[in-house]
This record gives sequence, structure tokens and C-alpha cells, in this order.
Amino acid sequence: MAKGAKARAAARRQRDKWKSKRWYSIRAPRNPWSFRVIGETLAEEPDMLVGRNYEIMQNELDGDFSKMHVKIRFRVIEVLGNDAITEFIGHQMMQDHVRRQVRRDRGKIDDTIDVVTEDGFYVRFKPLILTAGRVKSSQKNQIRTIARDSILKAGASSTWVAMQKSVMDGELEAKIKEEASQISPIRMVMIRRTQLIQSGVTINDGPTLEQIKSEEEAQKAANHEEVEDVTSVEDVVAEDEVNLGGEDIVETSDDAVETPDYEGMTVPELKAILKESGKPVSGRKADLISRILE
Amino acid sequence: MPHKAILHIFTTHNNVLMTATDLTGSETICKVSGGMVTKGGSEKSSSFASMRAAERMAEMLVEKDFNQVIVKYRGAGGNKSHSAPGATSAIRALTRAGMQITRIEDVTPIPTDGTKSKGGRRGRRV
Repeated sequence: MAKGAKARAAARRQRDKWKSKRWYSIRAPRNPWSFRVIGETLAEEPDMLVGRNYEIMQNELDGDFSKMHVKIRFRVIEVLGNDAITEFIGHQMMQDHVRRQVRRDRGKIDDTIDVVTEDGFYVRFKPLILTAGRVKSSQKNQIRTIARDSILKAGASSTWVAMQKSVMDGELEAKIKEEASQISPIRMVMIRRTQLIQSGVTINDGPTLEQIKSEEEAQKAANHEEVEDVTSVEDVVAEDEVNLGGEDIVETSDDAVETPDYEGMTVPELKAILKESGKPVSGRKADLISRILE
Repeated sequence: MPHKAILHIFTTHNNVLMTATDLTGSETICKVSGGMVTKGGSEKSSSFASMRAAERMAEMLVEKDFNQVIVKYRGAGGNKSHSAPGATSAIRALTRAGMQITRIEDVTPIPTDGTKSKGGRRGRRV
């Protein structure tokens, strides 16, 4: 039974390792998803997360059920605390969806096009065009050229984020379909796959991670208030932590100079003070403090 | 809160291998093979073995607080037949064991080029 003992020992080792792992939430890129939480992963060290790929179906990401066959891929580029920040590295149609469309008596036109976008992203597009009936190879070539020109033109005159949007909304596909229909009736055009090969310049607009996080916390706190009025010890700790991150500290620290140390007090204590002066007791700790100071 | 995992099922003519990972596919949660649940030999690749393996897998996943899985099954790739004898019975056993299956995907590596398969134009003649 040496094997069994060894297996058990191995299992024990495994379990110990399992316990040392922590969960991290995966966040979508800032633009255009403003750091939405899209999944979770686990690791022993935060460094291990960088470079991991995460796949999500498009209907899970934006709730569009006509896009159930599209996988969107993200790669972790940075880890901040418990959050893994990702970048968009392309999309892919499910293989079985593509295979269903290809049939006898339908022309199939495949291509691979490398595009450098306006903001310097080097991206590979793989369009697939299916015609309604049989087509001659000369027609196929014409259609292929039209599709290539259309994608190259779109790529050169728009940013990577804009390209993502037009690919995922089907705008680019519709445009190619319209242009190629002059040659032969087109059954469908799909951008089968996009791959980010090299990143370019990322423009930082939209809310920052701190803003998003404080918003989320505020919402959580608001929900919390509705559920229970009495704040437990755990909540106090949690809300203290909230105050560590962000602008709240700046605005309260000025006041703390001439007033008693509200920052150091617990939420129930602050609530007691508010109750005495007849003010509402709802909200986060920062709100409570600012209300006391009014 | 229960988590979600990816369950990779690899079925060949000789064995069944199951590996559960996290959603990025880089962190292994647990693994089971056909040989772990049968007496070995030719039984390893049977659909019964893959059923037993799936049950064992479901047990281990529940223990680690997972209740949803994405199934990615694959058979042997290349120019041989890609039939996956164990995958369907494994998936059935998983649902029976109370796992929620959110998505099933075939990830058999199929070449778009490569060598011609054995047997010739008219197949094997017996």
C-alpha cells in the first residue's frame, strides 16, 4: 500500500498549497468597460497573475444574446491589490458556429489582414465571407480585395477601441457586406477572429479605478444601510478600510486639525453624536463626519 | 460564495484525463484520470471510467466550493478520428452530481493543413 500512502501525502501537500492561494477579481479595461469586474482567478502570488488570459462570452459581457457565439479575450497586464487589470487582446467566434455556416454550394472567402490602427496598435483581422451561391474564383478574388481594402481603411482611420466596437457591434461586417454585394449576393460576413499582436498608445479617459471602487463601495454601503440599521463591529472595520483609499482623506484631514479626532472614532460613536444633534445617521463614515462638521 | 471552474476533459482511446482549473486556465484546482477510478488496463478508457471520474471530480469541486463549470472537452487531434467516447457520459454524470454546466465547448485541435490520413482514398478495406 505504499502507493496509497504516497498519494495521500501528495494530497496533503496539495491541500496546503490550495490554502495559501487567494482570490483576485479580474477587471475589464478602463476604456470602454470602466474596470467592470468580469471574473475571478486565484494565485499564491500577485505576480503570477500577469500574462494570464481570460475568456468571456460576449453575451455575458454586455447581455446581447445574439452574440452567444463570440468569445472575447483579455490578458492581465497589472495587479493592483485584489484587482487584476486586463487589456483586450481580441475576439474569436466559436468554431462550431463557423462550421455550421460553411456548406456545399456556398462560396467561402477567407483572409488574414494585418492592420496598424491610428493609435499604433498592430492587430490581425480574420474575416470570413460566405456567398449565397457558387461563385467563380475571380469573383472571390474581387470580394477578398474589397474586404481587405475596407478593413485597412477602417483601421487606418480609427483607434483600436473604436475598431473593437465596430467589430463587436457588427458595423464593420455590415459595411463589407454592402460593398461586396455589388460583385455577388453575400450570405454573411463575419470577422471570425481578431488578435492583438502589439499594443500601441493607450488613452486614459473615463473614471479611474479609485473612483470606480469608491462608487462600488458606496453602493454596497447603501445596500447595507437598507438591510440593517445596527452596524456591527465587522462593518466598522470594513468602512475604516474604505476610507483609506481616496479623496475622502484629503477633505477630512483639514478639518481634523481644529476638531476632535472623528477619523479615529468608530461609526457607532459617530452615529451617537449625530443622533444627539438630531441629524440623519445614514451613509458612510466620511459622510457621517462631514455631516457632523456642518 | 461558490466559484466557477473550467473542466478540461481529454478523452483518448486509452484513457480519460480530467483537470479542473480556474477561469484563466492557469491554476489547477484538481485532477482525476481514468486510471484512478478503475483497475487499470483497458477499463481506463471506458465510458464507465469517465462517469466515475466525473463523479469524483464533482465531489472534489464541491469540497473546494465550486458549483459551476465550463466544460471543454477534446479528443485526440491530428489526422486520426477525433471521436471522444468518454465526454458525453462524463458530462451526464456531472449534471447528475449537481454541478451546473454553463457552457460546453469542443476544443479538439483540428489541423487545417497537415498530412493525409492513413487508409487511402477508399478507406480501409476488410
